[in-house]
Amino acid sequence: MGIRIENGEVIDPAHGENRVRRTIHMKDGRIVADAGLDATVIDATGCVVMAGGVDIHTHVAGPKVNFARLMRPEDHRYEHVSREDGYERSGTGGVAATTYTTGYRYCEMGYTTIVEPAVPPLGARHAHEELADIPQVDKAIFTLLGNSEIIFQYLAKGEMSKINEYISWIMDATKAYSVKIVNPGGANMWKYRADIHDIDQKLCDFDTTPRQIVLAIADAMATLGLPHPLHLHCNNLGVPDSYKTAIATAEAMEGRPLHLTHLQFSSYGASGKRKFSSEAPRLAQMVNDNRNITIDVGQVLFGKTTTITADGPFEFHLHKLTGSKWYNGDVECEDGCGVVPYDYKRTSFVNSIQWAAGLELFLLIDDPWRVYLTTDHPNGAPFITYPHLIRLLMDKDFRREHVERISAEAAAEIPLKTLDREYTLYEIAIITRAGAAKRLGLVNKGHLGVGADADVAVYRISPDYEEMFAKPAWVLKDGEVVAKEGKVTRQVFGRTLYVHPERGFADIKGELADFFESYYTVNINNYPVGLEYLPRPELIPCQVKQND
Amino acid sequence: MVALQLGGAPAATLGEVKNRADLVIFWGSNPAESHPRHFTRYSGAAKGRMNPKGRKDRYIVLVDIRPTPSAKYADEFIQIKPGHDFEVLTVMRMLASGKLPDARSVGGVEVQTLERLVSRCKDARMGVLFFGQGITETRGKHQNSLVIYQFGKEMSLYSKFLTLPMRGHYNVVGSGNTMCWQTGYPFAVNFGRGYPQFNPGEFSVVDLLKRKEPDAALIVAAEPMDHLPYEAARHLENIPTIVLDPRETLTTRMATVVIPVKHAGISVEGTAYRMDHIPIKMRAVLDSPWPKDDEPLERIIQRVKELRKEKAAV
Ligand SMILES: [Zn+2]
Repeated sequence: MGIRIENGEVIDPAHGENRVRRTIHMKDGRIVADAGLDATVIDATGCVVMAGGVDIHTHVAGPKVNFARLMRPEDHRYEHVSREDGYERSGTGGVAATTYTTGYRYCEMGYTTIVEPAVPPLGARHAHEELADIPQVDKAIFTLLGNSEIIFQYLAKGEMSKINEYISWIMDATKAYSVKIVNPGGANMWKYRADIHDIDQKLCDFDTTPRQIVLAIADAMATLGLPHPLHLHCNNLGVPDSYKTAIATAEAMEGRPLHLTHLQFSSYGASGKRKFSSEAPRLAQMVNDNRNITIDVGQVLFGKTTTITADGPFEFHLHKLTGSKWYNGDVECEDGCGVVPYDYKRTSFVNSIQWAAGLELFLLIDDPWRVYLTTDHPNGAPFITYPHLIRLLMDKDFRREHVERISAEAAAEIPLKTLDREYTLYEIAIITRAGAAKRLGLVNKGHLGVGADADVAVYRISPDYEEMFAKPAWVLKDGEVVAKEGKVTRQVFGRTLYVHPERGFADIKGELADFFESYYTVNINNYPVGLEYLPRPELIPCQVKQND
Repeated sequence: MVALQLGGAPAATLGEVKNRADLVIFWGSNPAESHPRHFTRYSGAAKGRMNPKGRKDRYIVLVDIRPTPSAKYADEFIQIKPGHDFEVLTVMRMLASGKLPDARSVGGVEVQTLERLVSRCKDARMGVLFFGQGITETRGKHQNSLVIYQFGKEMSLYSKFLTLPMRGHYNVVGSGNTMCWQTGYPFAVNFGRGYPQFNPGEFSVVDLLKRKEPDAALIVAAEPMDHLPYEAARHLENIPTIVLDPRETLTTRMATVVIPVKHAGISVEGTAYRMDHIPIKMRAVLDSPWPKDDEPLERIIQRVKELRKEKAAV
């Protein structure tokens, strides 16, 4: 039976609709023109109706997320969901919540699609096992390839067609949706206890550079027609002058499509008395000037969190700086990862600059279609803080109150204090769903046109935007009501989105088998993740460019 | 596990050991008997990227309270007095930071020997300290693992250094991982309140059984009658037990109800996590008339739900 949402103000930026009072019909999991006379009616008077939220970058599953859970038992202690509260499966919260709790919480904020962006190929099986235990949302993984010794070996020999073939194979072998690069070459150098500091620096054991790695992978992705372009975490992230590396990397792309992830963490300069400054305005300008680039912010919000990244050398640096717990997990032939708890304090000069830099990126990038709302969960803050972040963007008085509470020394320096822009609901709909879905190449998501997935969030209009976005009046997944008033009412399982690119660029079968035999400890025949690990797989087609 | 929760650790998958390690220390571990393929596949004879000659490219040290069959595979054997692991490791941490203890020997080991070992660790291309039950199950328990992880983190200031527990018991790592993503905790989870609570020492199996708290037990693919202390195992004999296991064991022999199930990785496919947390797909190679182990569990859950409904209706 269908559902009609009546009397709501529809915000559907993909179709240019801004608070248009019209009825949304859905049936059999899709938005339709007419749900029929027997449709159930939802009266959305006083509400806005948007497509379900889409999170383009959130660390929710896989080996390093599970280490983050493991390492912080104290973090789970005071937050839990219980069967007595009506949830099908209990769990614990905190910054690295358990799988079921993660799904419930996203749903309760009106999100219906999430991407785990950093899975080493050897961890893909584990990540999919966790995704199978995340309810309420559709999900996908990006595979980490920026430190792949197989790719390095081909790069050193200039064998680009073999890189195409390998990436096609590994997409299928990991049931991934796209490719992420973290600190290109840096995780490999970390295995030699070194790091990368320049995009033209040669690796110590392979004749290649970050520039070559990034370009080769971006070109291979274009050849394969992957729906989402290269998703990149730059070298030198998190340190003063990181912004220079971000700009150099973006220039190296020479117009190729590029998504720079959690750009906030790359937006620091070395000016000022403390030799630490926000260069977010320069990076925003770079984004404004280059239409091939999109970003997500990776906003920092104050409070305790756990940092989780494939950037092993960065986490070691953070561990030395803070003396916190530290887990490091290098992955043979592929990548690495680190986990370090961290407390962002508003009294800290550096943390205040970081907080401001993220907001500056949001407010200074003109085109909302090219900036997406993330906290790089949980690196900048846990995702449950999104409603608070939305209010900071929409309400300049609220923002000003918060600026007054940060480190006074930082407050005096930050460009943020002169910015008066307020995001509109329409723009929020772009940065939290329409834009992210478009950049992911998910044609059925992020909008409410006929044929779209019937993933819908209905928010009751309130001047307190934090309250408004924290507790949607209704959330629908695949055309069914799954949450009301910010509380899950029905447990459902979404689909896992994956690609299956074409092959036949080169014959690498024998070479791959030899590489596995020599350097891996896993048999190549046991390596690929089969579809049996994806309880509800959905194949998203690649768009191969026609050669003429 | 608790030690990992307290401080973290520098770790890696075993392929990193195979490809890079030139110093391998086994502490309180006897891989020749407990993990017979470890040495050839990863840590000893294995050839890799920076170890093209395999065994010749590695210096191997065995630290234990007596020379075990693994000693003959090592370049150096260091014998320490039983129960002195913590002390010896603490002195190694001192030495690493440039301080000398005011004793010639500690735990039965010459300080000079330890100095040599520490400088090997500092100079290693990649050093790996594998530690086994000899250290996790003796006096000090997680304090011992903690000091090992601490040592590993300090060594990371000088060299690439890993500290890796030699976990055994088939898929114990997989069960720990699954518990962790579903509850936030790897073991000792109590669902009594309707949500997961963690308190090792209170909710761990041995402690619960010793206090005689459980009045029934469901045992899946575990051998408590063989592995638990007598006092704890004893209580299991006095309460109703349901045991799911493919084999006949001491535990199935005392069970109230035994449900034979397929052997994962032999007669049903499945996933097992290796000691370095890499999940491996297991294939089915033999047929078996028994159900998969999740089938009876699903049916038990179903029946419990029905009973609860019936009870609520009364
Ligand atoms: Zn991230």
